[in-house]
Amino acid sequence: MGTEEPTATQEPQEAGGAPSKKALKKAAKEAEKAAKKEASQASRQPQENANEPDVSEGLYGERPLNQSQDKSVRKVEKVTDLGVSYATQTVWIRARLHTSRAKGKQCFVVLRQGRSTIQGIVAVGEKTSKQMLKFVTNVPKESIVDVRGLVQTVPKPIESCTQSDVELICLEFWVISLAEPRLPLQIDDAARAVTEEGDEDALSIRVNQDTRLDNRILDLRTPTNQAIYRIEAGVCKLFREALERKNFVEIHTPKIISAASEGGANVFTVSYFKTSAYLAQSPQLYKQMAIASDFEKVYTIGSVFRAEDSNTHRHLTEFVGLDLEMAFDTHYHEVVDTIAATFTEIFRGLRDLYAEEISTVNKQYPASPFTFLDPPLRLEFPQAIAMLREAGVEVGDEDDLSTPNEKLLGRLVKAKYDTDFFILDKYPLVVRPFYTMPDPSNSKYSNSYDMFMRGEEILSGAQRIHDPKLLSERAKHHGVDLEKIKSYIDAFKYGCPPHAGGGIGLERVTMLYLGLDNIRKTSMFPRDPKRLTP
Amino acid sequence: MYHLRPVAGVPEKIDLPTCMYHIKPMNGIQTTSLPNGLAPVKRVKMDPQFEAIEERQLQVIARLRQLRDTVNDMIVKSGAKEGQGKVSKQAPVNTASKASTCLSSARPSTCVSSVLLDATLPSEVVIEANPSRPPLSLVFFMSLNPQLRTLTHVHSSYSKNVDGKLNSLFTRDTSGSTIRVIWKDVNGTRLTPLALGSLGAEGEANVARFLSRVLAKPDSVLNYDALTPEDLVLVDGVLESSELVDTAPDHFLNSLQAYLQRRGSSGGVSNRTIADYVGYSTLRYLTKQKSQQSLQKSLIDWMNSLTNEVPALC
Repeated sequence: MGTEEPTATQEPQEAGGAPSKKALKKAAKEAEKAAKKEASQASRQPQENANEPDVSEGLYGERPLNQSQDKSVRKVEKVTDLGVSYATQTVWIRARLHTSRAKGKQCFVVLRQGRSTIQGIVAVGEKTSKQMLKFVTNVPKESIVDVRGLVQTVPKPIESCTQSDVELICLEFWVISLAEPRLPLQIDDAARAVTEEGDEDALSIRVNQDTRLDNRILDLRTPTNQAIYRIEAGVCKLFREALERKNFVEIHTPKIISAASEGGANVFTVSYFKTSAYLAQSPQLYKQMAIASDFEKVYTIGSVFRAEDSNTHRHLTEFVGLDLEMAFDTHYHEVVDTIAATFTEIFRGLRDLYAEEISTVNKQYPASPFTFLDPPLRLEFPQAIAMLREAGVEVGDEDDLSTPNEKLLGRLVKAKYDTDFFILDKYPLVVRPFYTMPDPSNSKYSNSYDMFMRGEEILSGAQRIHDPKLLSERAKHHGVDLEKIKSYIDAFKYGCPPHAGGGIGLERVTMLYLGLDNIRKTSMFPRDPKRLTP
Repeated sequence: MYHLRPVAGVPEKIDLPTCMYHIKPMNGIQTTSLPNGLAPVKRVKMDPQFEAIEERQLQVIARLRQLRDTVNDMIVKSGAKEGQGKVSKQAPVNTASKASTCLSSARPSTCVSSVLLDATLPSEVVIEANPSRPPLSLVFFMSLNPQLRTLTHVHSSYSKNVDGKLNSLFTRDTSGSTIRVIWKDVNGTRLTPLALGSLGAEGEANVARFLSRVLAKPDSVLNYDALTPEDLVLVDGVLESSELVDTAPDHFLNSLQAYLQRRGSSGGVSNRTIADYVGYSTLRYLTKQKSQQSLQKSLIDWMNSLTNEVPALC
């Protein structure tokens, strides 16, 4: 029984031809009826569509929670591998839904896997239903999806995707893990390049550092961050490989210790049963103990904790330290040369094996390529002082270099030698820790060295005093309480070979190699005086 | 035609203004308003600050004159030859005079002491060079001074391997002044600036000129500044043409032949100029590209004589 069509009725007109009140009421009623009919027709249409057969039934939807209930094996391709060689093949991929855009009877999606992206198309047709199109359009961004699709070549490269010469005709579309519709930050905004002012075409939306760190899980998904942490892993890997080739032994030192490693107040205290303990500032004592235990060449990679209230671009309260210690035959330069060669191998490895990642990082954070010399440049402290004085800096012969002076020295070295990495040897004794071996030919200087990248210090090392008597003398000279370092001095009581070493911070080396401006960009979950989460 | 009675109270002679805005003269010199510059100059009282500055400048100039005279006296007393190293009253920057001995009349000698170099470089010298065209002239400077310390590095921009023999040729770790050679992907040889604000030198010829001025004795023909004008023409001919050897190799060979003819066949270390060393380096580069067979016998003999001076070059 359908709605009756309104019948035209003739109502007696009032005198003068104007419609009567009754006529007006009737007209209003009819208009209301017509409006209701329209509304009911509109609401009935989806039902009519739903009633249409869904040709894509069983080819899309949300998968039940994966509790490992199914052990089937299927071949899943990597997005980065999909290219012209896969044309006309049907493949499965698992990726994140990066973006989706519906247009009429089509929906264009960009699927992202790591740093690779590929365009997918869902188009209504014989094999694809409207219902499937609607479902795909409504999947929130960042959801993890499984897609089975036909790879086909494109007439024009798709500039916005890494896999620019092919696209995926989606045949199946399954949601594996649904994301919340509202994201605290957009991946595109977090991945936007730093552009120069005046670039009118560039969007000005940026994500500030705190927002990134508060939503680190999303921020880490950008191609730049994916590249940065792969490069950082590369630094670690190359460090290990270089030292393994030189017959170093990896050791693991304790991080909960009873006394401050380097003295001073920059230690975190932890409650340790009925007493207190400290988090290790450096593994130095244990490295030296390993040398005294005849391991000859050791290295360790582990966390280092410094309770410095330094809110700077290059300090963290917790970072990963790469430390090494080595016994030598006659001269501590054997150790300096070993460390220098290790750095050269790391830099060369990064240059040759991680060029693509470095290029990805440079797209968002442009920087000049890192330059180095092989063998590395080594200058003596008096030479550095001479260079600074020539540049107009007033500095004493035995003054330590301040941070601005170090940066200026870096620029002067870069201008003269075209290298971003150099070693400064023979620091004045008075500015070094008590366990540093004095220079035998000049008591004002020491057998100690610093290494610099882009004008910032990355390693501080020295030949250590391995004689308990001299060590006690130097400690007294520095006003160090001998009782507090008794166990340290005792380590050398039963014979210890001459040795030297140093340590670097993984995050700082990565930051300086890539020319980044903040160490928090190279620390996955950074810790500083103001941040304890995530 | 009509004489008018003057307006009462207006003087007959009025001084008209000579400029729009009058300001006090800064230099204390005031001229009259005559435009032809012939007006007498009279000095007016100056600002005391300017007077003080002028006084100080005059004192500094007087002291500089005294210093010049003192230095000249010291040189004379130390037995230096007349005209050598003396501070000229015209005060040119480069004061080394030309040696009286020119190339053609120099007696051949195998004695090295007459050209023994002072190994005191002003500061560490950095030379960037391409391994495909190494600056072999530097090797001769090294051989003439055993104390000269040379170190080599490979720059990160050069990704190929550098021949170990080439590195050994340019490496010598001693206690003297340091020259660092950085193998880099560059065109030619380059001396980086020694100090802030100074310029470097481009090309092996200019680097050799610099090293000869700094390291060679002032009276030795190896010192570029000690050459007579006639010899300079030939030496410069070899040096300039060596820089263009890629595009004009024949021009270089002709210049080298002309130089060697003038110098005569008399060899010997004391007779060598930088043209010999730079010419040798360029000829070695040229023969690497083309065969040595196309060279004249005299050139081959000359090359061999230089190679014998530094056996490491074999």
